[in-house]
Amino acid sequence: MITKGWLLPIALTMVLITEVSSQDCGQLLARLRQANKANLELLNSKMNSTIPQQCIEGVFSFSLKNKLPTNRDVSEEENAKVAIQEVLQQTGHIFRQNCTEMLWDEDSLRAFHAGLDQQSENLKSCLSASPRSRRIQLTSLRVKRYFRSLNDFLKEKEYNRCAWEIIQIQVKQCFLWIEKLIQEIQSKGMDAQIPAHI
Amino acid sequence: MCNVDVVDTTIILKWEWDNPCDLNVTFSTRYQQNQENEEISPDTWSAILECQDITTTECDLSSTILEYLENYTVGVRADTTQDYSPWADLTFCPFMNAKIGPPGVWLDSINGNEKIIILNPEINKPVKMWESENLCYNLTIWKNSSHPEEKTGPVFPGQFIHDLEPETTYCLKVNAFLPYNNGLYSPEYCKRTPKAWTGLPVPEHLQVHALNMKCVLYWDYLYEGNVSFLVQSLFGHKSRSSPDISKNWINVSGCENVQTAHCDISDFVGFDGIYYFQIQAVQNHKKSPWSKMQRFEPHRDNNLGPPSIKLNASEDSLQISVASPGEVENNSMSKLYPLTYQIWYWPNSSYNKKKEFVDKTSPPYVISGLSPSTLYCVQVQAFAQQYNKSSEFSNVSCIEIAKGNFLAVYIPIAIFVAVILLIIGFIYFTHFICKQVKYVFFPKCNPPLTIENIGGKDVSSSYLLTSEEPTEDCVVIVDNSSPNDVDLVDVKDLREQEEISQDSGNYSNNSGSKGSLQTTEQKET
Repeated sequence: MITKGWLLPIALTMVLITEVSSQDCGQLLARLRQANKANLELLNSKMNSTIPQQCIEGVFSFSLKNKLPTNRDVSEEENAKVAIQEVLQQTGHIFRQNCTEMLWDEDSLRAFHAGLDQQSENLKSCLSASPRSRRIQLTSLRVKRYFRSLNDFLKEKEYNRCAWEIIQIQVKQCFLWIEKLIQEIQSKGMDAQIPAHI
Repeated sequence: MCNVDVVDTTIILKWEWDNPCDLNVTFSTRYQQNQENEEISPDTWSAILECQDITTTECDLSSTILEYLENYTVGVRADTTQDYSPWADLTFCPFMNAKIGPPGVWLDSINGNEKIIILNPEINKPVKMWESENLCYNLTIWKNSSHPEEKTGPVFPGQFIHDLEPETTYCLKVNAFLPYNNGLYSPEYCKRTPKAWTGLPVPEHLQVHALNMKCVLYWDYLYEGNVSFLVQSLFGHKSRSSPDISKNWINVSGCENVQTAHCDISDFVGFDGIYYFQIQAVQNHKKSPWSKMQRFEPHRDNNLGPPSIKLNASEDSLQISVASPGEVENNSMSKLYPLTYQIWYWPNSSYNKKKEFVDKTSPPYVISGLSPSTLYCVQVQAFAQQYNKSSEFSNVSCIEIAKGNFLAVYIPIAIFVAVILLIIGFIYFTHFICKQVKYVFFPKCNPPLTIENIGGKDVSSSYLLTSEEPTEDCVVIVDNSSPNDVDLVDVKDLREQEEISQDSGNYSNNSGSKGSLQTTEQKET
């Protein structure tokens, strides 16, 4: 038997890189909230406490074509999770752009990426496997549009320092938004224990 | 009836026209970009210049539609020389409708490994649909035999494919995917694997043991000989965004030339993130193929060692000071995991461990309401709720609730009882004394008149004395020794008695006269 047992090892190889979904999804949001705080802290520590003089004008003239979805748009838990996952993944992407002008040291940048990747992967493994509703697709699309405008802005400004300052301010806003979303879901989760009220 | 076919940034509008009347028609197309939730505006149509007066039933929109995340409405109309049909409109978002194009794929044999090369579907394309997405890839592989059985699983570009049989033909195909977008399969690729590897064997069974974030990578290596090992690592975030992960492996410092079948990777890994590891055996200039890669996610895979505890007994309670796992080695896990502690305590005499949960808030933890003079034993386990992770148990530590505590509790009670007894005793004593004094000086009871002169002797003279000294001897002694006293009392008593008899006599007399008066009155009436 030449074929004996050859499939199993391949299957095992596959399993090795499969994201093991043994994550405790019930505690996902609590972990995510803690990790998001760490992201914010890291971002804050790397950002100037004041906007550099030469960038002030740029900050005021900066406006985004697209906005993040409102909290009302992502009121369902699954929808919010998709939105958060999209923010994390897109933030990872934007921070992989030419960031020599961003003045982050390599270790901090690596730690930032490692955190974003892990949170995004953990979230993915806890998302429902069923096809996503139109509403959820729309949420995802809105986040993508928002980050597309950030990307376009960076490109347009040729990844200069001021552009990065503005991007960091925007990403910080995203993390604060994530914090609010998680807070809302968690408080709603507690409400759900009590009979529904309108 | 029209539909749009989007693959990567190639957007083709297609429509059906069965030409029922055998007309000579051409087609015109138009489009507009829509804001979200906006109705189609009748005034903002633009013609698609490439697709005016065409005779084909499809139109390439790729150079017209460039905002892939926006919504577009496109329309098509049939024109004849005299007339034209109504517009058939279709609204869509290119990104949401897009399929991911087929990637390029092949296997490279490198030093005993088979590396899978996957080319991004949009490589070398000037505009990209998936630029800001991390494409995931699925590998389907089967043996080119009469009974092929497919196996499918995720794969990173540049990853080694293990456990392929030598000199065997395998076929494979790969497709990319995203949460909303399916990918088209690459063309099938078949390859005959090389001869069996005869060089240094591959290290096997990699696993990471992590305790209090002391992380050690272990592996098996059965080959005898003077072999050293090289450990490499790949960051998870690189693996998911890299076009070829084989370029992203980096040597783990301190594990570049190890002679043992394990290596401490603690200094290399941080708490956050996902890591992959692979190992190669090296002997002189010979190198083994790379091992299978092992995933390691510190915050999930790390184990918590035991916490350590210190006990203090006070009064009827136990104070437990808990040092979090690793704290003694100056590597406290409470900095990484929000920890709570579960405390088990039990009196040493019983085998029932009474379980008590204590919240994380402000140690030291106190267990109160314990019996004094008893040996209590305590064991503590840390719990990281966010990760559903329990630590090892601490050592069992025992302490006796001291006797001092017993006295401290019972002496006040004893004193209280004593005081109460004393007070009762005092009250009783005082009452007794008063009673005696009153009896002696103000006796209430007198002997009845009828026995005043029993036996021809004045009995009243000895009456009180008898009651005081019940023995006859006493009566005799008192009678003789203090006749004056007795006489005095006697006289007084007699006088009182006289007064009483007189009073009653008067009263009876009065009543008697009254009664006679009444009878006389009755007689008169």
